[in-house]
Amino acid sequence: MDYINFTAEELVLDDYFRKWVYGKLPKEDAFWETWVKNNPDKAAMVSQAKFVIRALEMEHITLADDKLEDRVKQIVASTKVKPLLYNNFWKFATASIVVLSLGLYYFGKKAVLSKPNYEEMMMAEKHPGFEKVNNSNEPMKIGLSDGSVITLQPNSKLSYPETFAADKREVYLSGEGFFDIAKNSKKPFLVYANEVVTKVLGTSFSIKAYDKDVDVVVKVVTGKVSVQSKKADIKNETFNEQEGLILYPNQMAVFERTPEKLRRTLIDNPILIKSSKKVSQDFNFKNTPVITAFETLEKGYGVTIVYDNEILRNCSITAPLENETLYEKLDLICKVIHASYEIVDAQIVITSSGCN
Amino acid sequence: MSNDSEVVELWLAFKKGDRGAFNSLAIVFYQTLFNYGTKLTVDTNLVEDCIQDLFLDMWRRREFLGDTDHVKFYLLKSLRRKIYYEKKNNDKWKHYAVDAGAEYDFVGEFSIETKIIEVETTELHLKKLHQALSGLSKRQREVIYLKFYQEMDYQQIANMMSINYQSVRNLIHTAIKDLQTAWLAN
Repeated sequence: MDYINFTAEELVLDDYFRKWVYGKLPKEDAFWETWVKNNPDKAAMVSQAKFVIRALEMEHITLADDKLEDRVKQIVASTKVKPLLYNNFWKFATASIVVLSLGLYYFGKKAVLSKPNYEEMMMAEKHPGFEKVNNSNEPMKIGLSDGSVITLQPNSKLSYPETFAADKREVYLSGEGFFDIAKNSKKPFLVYANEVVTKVLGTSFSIKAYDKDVDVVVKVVTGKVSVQSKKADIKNETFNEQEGLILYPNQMAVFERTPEKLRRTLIDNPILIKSSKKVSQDFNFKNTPVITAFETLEKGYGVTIVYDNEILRNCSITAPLENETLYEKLDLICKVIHASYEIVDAQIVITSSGCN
Repeated sequence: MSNDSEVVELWLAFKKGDRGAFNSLAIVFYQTLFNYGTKLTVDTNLVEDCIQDLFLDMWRRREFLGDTDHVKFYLLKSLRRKIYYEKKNNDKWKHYAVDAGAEYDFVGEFSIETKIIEVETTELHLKKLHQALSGLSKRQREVIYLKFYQEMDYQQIANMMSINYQSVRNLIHTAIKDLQTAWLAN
């Protein structure tokens, strides 16, 4: 190109010239150096054009290569399944749900017809969207665009709409699955599993349910979850937390099919809640007032223990209980202080006549 | 960046469902999109989310997308639309009135405004220069950015910003003239 008749402005607007000013031309490209040397009368113009270009230089944020790779990986991964969250806009910590089965066989076939099951809900759904069926013997992982991962167990099905509603994310489950849900406070995540609706409120939790079982069970590992029973004839019923149960770690909700009843209890083997690793060391009780021991258990397992302060005032315990389960610990403590316990509405209630 | 014919090839393969080509397109354009996005909003998370959303959208709608020779233009324009849409959505919840110029909310800054760069210049010169730069509107800044850094032609810029061809030329012309005047003050 012949630049002889170029004005300063035209030089500024010339991509090739700008590349030279920015120092982005390959080393061996000496075109502009030569041109400037050969056209000394253009020196002022070149200097003006350079000045304007330098003045208009902009600040840029550059992404590090590894960060860029991560982002691209994320993009590609999210296309591998049909995205659940069309507007993957909010980044949140993930929450976990486990949907399991109690494994009890349900034989009341007549009742089956009237309960809200997966097939019926699918037929009622105007935009059924996608369905994943796991007919294999292996758990199947389903990734969602919002970062959620659902592990579907064999003989289970999961359905979700092509695009979620603006205000909630709803999926349907038949069988068993583990849900690792991206938390989004603006779009609660609801799992419809037969008669039970589970809603993610906090960071993590777990559920239990199957078509032919006597019960539907929702288990909480960590975090906070809301569970509600679902009436067969009301599809568009809004989620009412007042009517449902709020579950905390180590608690579970059991929906009994005959008669229909939703109750709350503790899971079979409560685990130490994550944030309290240090607490486990404190289970080595040495002449510890039993009230203090119960408080340690409450903190460690995130459970509530109900007892009479006055009666247990003089009880103390000496026992290394680091490796026992919560129930074993309770058994041992109760044996020492001549007490008994029962689980009522997910609380541990201690009955004792005191120590002297 | 890959050359244009390579990009067009990737585009065609991607439209046929080639995930590798899609992956390559994301690698080729992520930085460019991120650069433009961060000129439109200071919220880098929003930019990243919009880019991811944009690619997901592309993947899902790939069969309906045209055979374009201007892949970068298509991507930048889509990103611009997405970011404005999301910002508008977010602003709805804020109490202050969104000013009419919000369509051109360009937040990119000239280096000289934030740090001293190597410009052979005097004190007075620099003052004039700052005056000239601070006199540039958001629209002018965006036009300059698209022209200088994304190397778009006037027609593409006009299309992108929904203004007419002549306006784009005028915006650039007055910006350069103002700066030339600042230089003459030397």
